[in-house]
Amino acid sequence: MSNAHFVRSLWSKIHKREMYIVGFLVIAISLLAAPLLNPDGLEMVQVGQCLLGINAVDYWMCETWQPLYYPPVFPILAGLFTKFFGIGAIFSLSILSAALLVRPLSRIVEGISGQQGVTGLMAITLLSISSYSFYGLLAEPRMLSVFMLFFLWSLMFKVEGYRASRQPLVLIGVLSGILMLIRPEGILASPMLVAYSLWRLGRRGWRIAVGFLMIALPWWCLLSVSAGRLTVSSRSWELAGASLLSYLPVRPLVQLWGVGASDRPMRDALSALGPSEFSGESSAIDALLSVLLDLTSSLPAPLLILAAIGLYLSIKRHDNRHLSVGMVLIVVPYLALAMTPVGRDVAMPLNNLLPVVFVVAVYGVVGLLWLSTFVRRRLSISGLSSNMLLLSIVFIGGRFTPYPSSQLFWPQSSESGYLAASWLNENISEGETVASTFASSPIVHISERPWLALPSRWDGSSWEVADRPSWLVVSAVDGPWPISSPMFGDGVNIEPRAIFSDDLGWVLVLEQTAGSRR
Amino acid sequence: MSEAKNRTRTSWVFLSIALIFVISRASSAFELRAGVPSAVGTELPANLQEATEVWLKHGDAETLAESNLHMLPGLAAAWLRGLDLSRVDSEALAEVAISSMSQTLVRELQSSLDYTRPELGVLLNRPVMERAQEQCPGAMSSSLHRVCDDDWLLASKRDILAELYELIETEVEFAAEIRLGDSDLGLEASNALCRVLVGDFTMYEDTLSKVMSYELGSRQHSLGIMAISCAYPELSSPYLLDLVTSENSGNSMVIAAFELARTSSYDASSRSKVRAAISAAFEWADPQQSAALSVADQIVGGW
Repeated sequence: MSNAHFVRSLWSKIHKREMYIVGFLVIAISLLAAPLLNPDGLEMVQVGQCLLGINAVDYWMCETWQPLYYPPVFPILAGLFTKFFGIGAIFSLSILSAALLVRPLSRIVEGISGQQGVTGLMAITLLSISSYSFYGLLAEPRMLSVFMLFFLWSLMFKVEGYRASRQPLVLIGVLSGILMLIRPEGILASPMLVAYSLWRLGRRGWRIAVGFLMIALPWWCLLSVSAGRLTVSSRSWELAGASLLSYLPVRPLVQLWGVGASDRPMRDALSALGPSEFSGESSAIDALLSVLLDLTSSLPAPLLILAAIGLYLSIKRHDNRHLSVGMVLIVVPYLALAMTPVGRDVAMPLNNLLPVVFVVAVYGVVGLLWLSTFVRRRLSISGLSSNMLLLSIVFIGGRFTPYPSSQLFWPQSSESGYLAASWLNENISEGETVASTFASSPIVHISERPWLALPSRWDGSSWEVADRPSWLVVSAVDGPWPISSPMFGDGVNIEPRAIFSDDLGWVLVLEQTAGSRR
Repeated sequence: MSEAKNRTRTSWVFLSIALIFVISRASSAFELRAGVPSAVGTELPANLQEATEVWLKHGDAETLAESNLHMLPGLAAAWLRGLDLSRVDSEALAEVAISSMSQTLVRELQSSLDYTRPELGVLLNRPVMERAQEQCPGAMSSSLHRVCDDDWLLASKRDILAELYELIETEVEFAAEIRLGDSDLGLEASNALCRVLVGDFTMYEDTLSKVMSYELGSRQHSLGIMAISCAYPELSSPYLLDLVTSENSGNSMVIAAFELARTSSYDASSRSKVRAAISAAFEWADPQQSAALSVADQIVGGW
């Protein structure tokens, strides 16, 4: 079977009813969650516009950024979309990925359960998971990456049926390379796909590796040439510096090595090293418990129970046990990643656990299908009624487990943040630079003024008084430290000019003026 | 067949409309607004500068409470920087001082110690305490009257220090991220320790021995070093130089080098000594430590 034929066969299988479900999901996600522009996403838009050579807001920053810091697929797409359709278009990638995710997940459920037509059930189940709608409206490549991951695996399960096929395996390899160009951890998926295909298809499985290398080798060459040494990641310095996190306070350290695509001297120093062994205080068991706690506290309890039932049933069935092996291969690298110190995120605990969440959803629907049959027979009700009953329980359970991140103050998505951005746009001239931390930088970007990162406590003196921007934005995510930082020593007067507050936090605009303090 | 095609087209049109709806909805949420007053969500007049001036001149606890702005840590920190202490009522000043700090830390201290917010503001900020004590005669009825009792003051300072050391020693959530505001208790306790100790040279030896009691290379030791170097930049310099040049100090050499780099970059006379110490440390530093030391060296040399 040729690639073209293979792709055509996939295309023809997209039922029109599924398109309606995808459209329904797009609308439902946008109604369930508020769009969230995170600092990385906004920076990716600008890096993408720099890469494309189209006008970026902070175009002068193109020279100071590391253009290859972010894998290029999302920045290029987001840069292009927002250029032509406005800032709202940045969400189209995430929301469409989230909506389309229903299809590969449904195919996997159908494979495991042996039942057809589960797309509607899967759609409602996904909407019961608060993190699904949260990440579906988060402006960053995570959801696109998750969609690609499950799409790849559903293809893999499908290709198993074409014993004589050759090219589809290469195509899967190429797509797994593209997955790596969406999110750096995509590199973990390819070895799992190769291992699975070697197990299931024998030596032909190596074709996936060939396809992957067709994309990965040029990318690695580009990264190595750019870094001046052999490397497979633009973020190897993070691994090299991980051990510093065990004994240095995070905030000044992160300010020192910079956040996002900014080019800092400490990154050069760390880039020259190999990955260091992290000597953190927590054990692997503690880390695993913490990850499990993050997962269970963010997912509806009824879904977890259904997933346990679904998992038990799928293990009992011998004919499609290989699909569960595939599910394990999806989950393992992400669980391992989430257990590392650099893989954990207190503010967004499911950042690296999203594939695990959707594997839980898959088994949840498998469990739901079985329980629905059981309920239907016991209560003598229709299939629709039993499905609706169980889905209602799952959905209500989901309302009681909001994703913790949606309860936090995000300056860029708060009323205060927009008012501050509007105020800056109206009250300071176009060329004036505004300093802030990376976390508060979206306010500056939205205000369409050039942004400068605040230095660390340790290198504050490098910020010459003459070079300091006149304006400073501090918000509740920073706390008061930027103002009491040693870099604003004697002789620098900081005047509050505007303040915006709401129920969750505040944003303060300050102006630095020359002269002595009052 | 054509009917099936039409249905498929209809489903695509539906999906496109859904996407257009979402994009336009998201875009409208990010539109900049015109004519935003400078003090939204607060009771302060639009002219924030004028209001700040008014408060500074007539500042007292009552007007502060009315404005409600002192509860915003960022603004309180900015105000505290510009305050003319001689013109401000000590109770209002104490409230601004406590508002300018990490509120997570303040809540933690209040849950363990029996102090009011203004009392904590005085205890955690030496200039504010001096101002409050200047106003002691005739202030016995104010909520800060306990500050006028030297025995209470001494005991309270001991309690506060013990509590801050305990917070520094508490195992922190390693993944506490920069985006969580002021909730990194260890770091905030270290900052508060600096504020309590600064200017009080009688406490240096005790503080040094406390810091030295922490395990070398531990996060607690790093936080202690940051506090002592912040409160006593000159006095602590020999200890920090010793850490950098000692083969046995392990990872503590890194934080000592960073702190020395910070203080020496403001003091040209000590730069050569610090650079020599860092150069010596390269001999036994492992690769990660060397990378950090090279950055510290660049900071001292002015990048």
